[in-house]
Amino acid sequence: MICPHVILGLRCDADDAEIRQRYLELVRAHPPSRDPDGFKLVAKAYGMLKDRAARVQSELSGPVQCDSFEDALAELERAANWAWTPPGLREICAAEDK
Amino acid sequence: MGRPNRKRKGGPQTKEELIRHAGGRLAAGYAKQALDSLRLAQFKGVPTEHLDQLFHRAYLARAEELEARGLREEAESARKNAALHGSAGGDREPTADDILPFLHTQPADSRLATYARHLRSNPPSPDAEVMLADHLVLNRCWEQLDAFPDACQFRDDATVMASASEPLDRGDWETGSRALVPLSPESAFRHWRAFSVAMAAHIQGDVPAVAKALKGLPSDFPLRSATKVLRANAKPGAAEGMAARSDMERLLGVGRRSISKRAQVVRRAVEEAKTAQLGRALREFAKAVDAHSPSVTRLRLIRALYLAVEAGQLDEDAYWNAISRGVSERETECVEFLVYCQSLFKRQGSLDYLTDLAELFYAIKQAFPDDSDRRVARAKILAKLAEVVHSSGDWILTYSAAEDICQILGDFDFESVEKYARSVRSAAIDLLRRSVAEDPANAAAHKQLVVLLESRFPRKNSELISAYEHYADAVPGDPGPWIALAELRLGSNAYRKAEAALEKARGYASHDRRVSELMVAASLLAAKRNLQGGRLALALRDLSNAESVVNPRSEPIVLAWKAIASSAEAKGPSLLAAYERTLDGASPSARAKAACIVWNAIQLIDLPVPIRPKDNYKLLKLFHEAILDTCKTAPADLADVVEPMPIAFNNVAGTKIVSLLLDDLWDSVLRAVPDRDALRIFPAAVEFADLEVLRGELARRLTRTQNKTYQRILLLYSASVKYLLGEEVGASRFRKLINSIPSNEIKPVRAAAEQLSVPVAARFVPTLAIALKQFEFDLLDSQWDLF
Repeated sequence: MICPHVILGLRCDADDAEIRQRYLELVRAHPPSRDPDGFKLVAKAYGMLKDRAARVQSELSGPVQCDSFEDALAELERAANWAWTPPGLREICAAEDK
Repeated sequence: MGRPNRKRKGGPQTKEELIRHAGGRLAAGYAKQALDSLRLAQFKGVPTEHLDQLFHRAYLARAEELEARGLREEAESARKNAALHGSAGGDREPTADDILPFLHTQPADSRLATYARHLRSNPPSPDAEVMLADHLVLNRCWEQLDAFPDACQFRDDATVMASASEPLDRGDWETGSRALVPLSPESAFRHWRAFSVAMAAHIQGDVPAVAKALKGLPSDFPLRSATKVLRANAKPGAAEGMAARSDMERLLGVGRRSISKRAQVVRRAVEEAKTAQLGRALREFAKAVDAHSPSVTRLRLIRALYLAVEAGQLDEDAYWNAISRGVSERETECVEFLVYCQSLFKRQGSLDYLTDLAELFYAIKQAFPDDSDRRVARAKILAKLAEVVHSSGDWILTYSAAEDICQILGDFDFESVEKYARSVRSAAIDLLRRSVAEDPANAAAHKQLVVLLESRFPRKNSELISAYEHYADAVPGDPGPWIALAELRLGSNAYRKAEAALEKARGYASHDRRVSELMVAASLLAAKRNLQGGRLALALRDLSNAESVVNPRSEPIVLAWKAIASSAEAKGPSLLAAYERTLDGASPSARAKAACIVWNAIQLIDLPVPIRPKDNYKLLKLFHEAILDTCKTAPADLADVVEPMPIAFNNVAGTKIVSLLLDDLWDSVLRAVPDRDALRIFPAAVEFADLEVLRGELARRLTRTQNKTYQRILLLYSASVKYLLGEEVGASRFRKLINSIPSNEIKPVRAAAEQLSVPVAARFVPTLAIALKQFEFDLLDSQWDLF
């Protein structure tokens, strides 16, 4: 998994509490009984970010765990599409101001 | 006065819009535009008393503008106009009929308070509440609701809206819409509920529901652009329309289609190797994937892109160009570091280091905000960096690069780097020291550090021993550091410590040849010490230890010392007899080597073994015979014997008999030694052999060999000998000789030059100095202090 924080919809500098909160929200939104694939994805992403040691390990163990550029690109695309959320009201208001 | 009959294109048209526009322009400091709008509103029929307050404020502001421009008369006229419209209206209370226009005349942040005051003695105004509801949602000033009375429908509805705003801001339109259900159809916030329902339906792709939700939305709803896009998307057949989709994504931010579209652009750019497009595509795709932290995604993409380079899909130059374009904003230090390194280290194999370093650096910055927690990750970076510095080969360049990279990484101590004048090796050593201090278990860093310390000249044994000790402690199971420690200890005559280190090494590598050789050496050293101290029994014990691990290379040494020790025993034989007895049956080279060692020991070490002068001479004769036998029967063994020879006979070189003996010896040895071993003894021959004999032999070999490298080495020695004989070498001829050597052959020639002793090299100055400088023989520079 290239970008666990993309799956969880977090900033890279999110702390342990934020990561856990987001994980719990996503688990509620993707329970294993209703969305087993989504649940596995969220659980794997959380496992890579859950604490500092895990984050270091995932960052330093190797930058890309894919065999080809196409695989890496496809994985990023999948992660982004899965994690995509609609824009919020504040965002729309800000776009309107522009 | 204004020109009310002037046609306006666009801009505010209705009375309310004009009043609102005037208030906005006034608040922004454009008094003249505010006055224009107010006059137009007046022309359209707004009662003047409704506009008095705004006119008053606008004229006063205009007067200030004119005053600032030095137009005093015009400013005075504006003040008079302001007075005509009365005061700022602070004491005027709005009526139920004019509350809405009155509110428009108020500053935005005071409108809620004004309305709350108005409600105390007046009925609610639906139009005013709609305007205030928009103001609340857009500005999120919920705390101002405290000014409203408790039993107030507007306040209750605002509270519902405030609670719904959290999921709505998060993009959870469905939850937000459900939270707004309690609002009545007449609520001031009804339009916001309609918009939320429309957004929720749009997300789910329910076009009819979008159209239904938007039906009651007024044209002046604040989110005009979003509403327009939703309406366009809700028209029949609009779902397939590219315009609606792109408008929506453009307005509402990146959507799923945008991510896939950008991924496709990246793929196409890689296939067609369009670097400009690729760089742009990288940036946009990263932003589409991760709006929070696009730089991280961009780095990962860069790293992933190298997979395309490795697979041959993308040229390496194109890759670097794309990176430069893709990270042109330079928004992170990590990216700067990567691009910077590219300009310095653009050589094969370095990309892995660079992108790894960049990612490591970024990981440190992100994962370890606290400096004390960065140690391990930073240690990995340091080790990698030192590896790059050491392996790059371009020392001068990488010195400044190492320093600059330290600066970029930001938390290094420069003093230790600056302390080493122009020595990249020292910069790499410093980096590695920090690395092993912070991550003691990093075996690679330990190895690199000791390699660099070994290659440094002059070598400092104490720091090398310390480095090896740390290495051995940090990486158990590796015999290497223990063997190295043993060698260092032996070098400083600490044989017990050497033995202890060798025991450790033997525990990990019992069959290692180096271990057995060093154990012999340690035992012999101990034996020598004990012999010198008169502790014969201990010396014999040490010698028997040496014998237990002896190999063919160390056999002559052990035999020699056995002969010496047996001669030292009470009532022992004479040294010569002991030598003859011990080495009876040994090979000629073993006998020669042993004789050499015995002679050396007797001459240089204070041993309780007397030797009679005639035995001394006989020993020399035995050595001479052994050497001649070796020349005839085993010339391949000569180098092993002759190489240490000068040490043995240096002290007696002045003796005429010995000199004659040695001349004869050198003559035979130089003729007999094979070409491959000759290079080992030439340095000694230059020092101690007859130079004419040597010159003759060099010339003979030159005519015999076809090997170009060997020829050049022979020429180098020939030039050395010629110079030592006092003949003119000719700087230009010598330089030509050196210049003719191809770069891939320089190593053995340089090695040969390095073996020339200091006196020889010094006498070459300036010729050799110039020649050596061309090859940057830095070790020679330091050793000979030529420059």
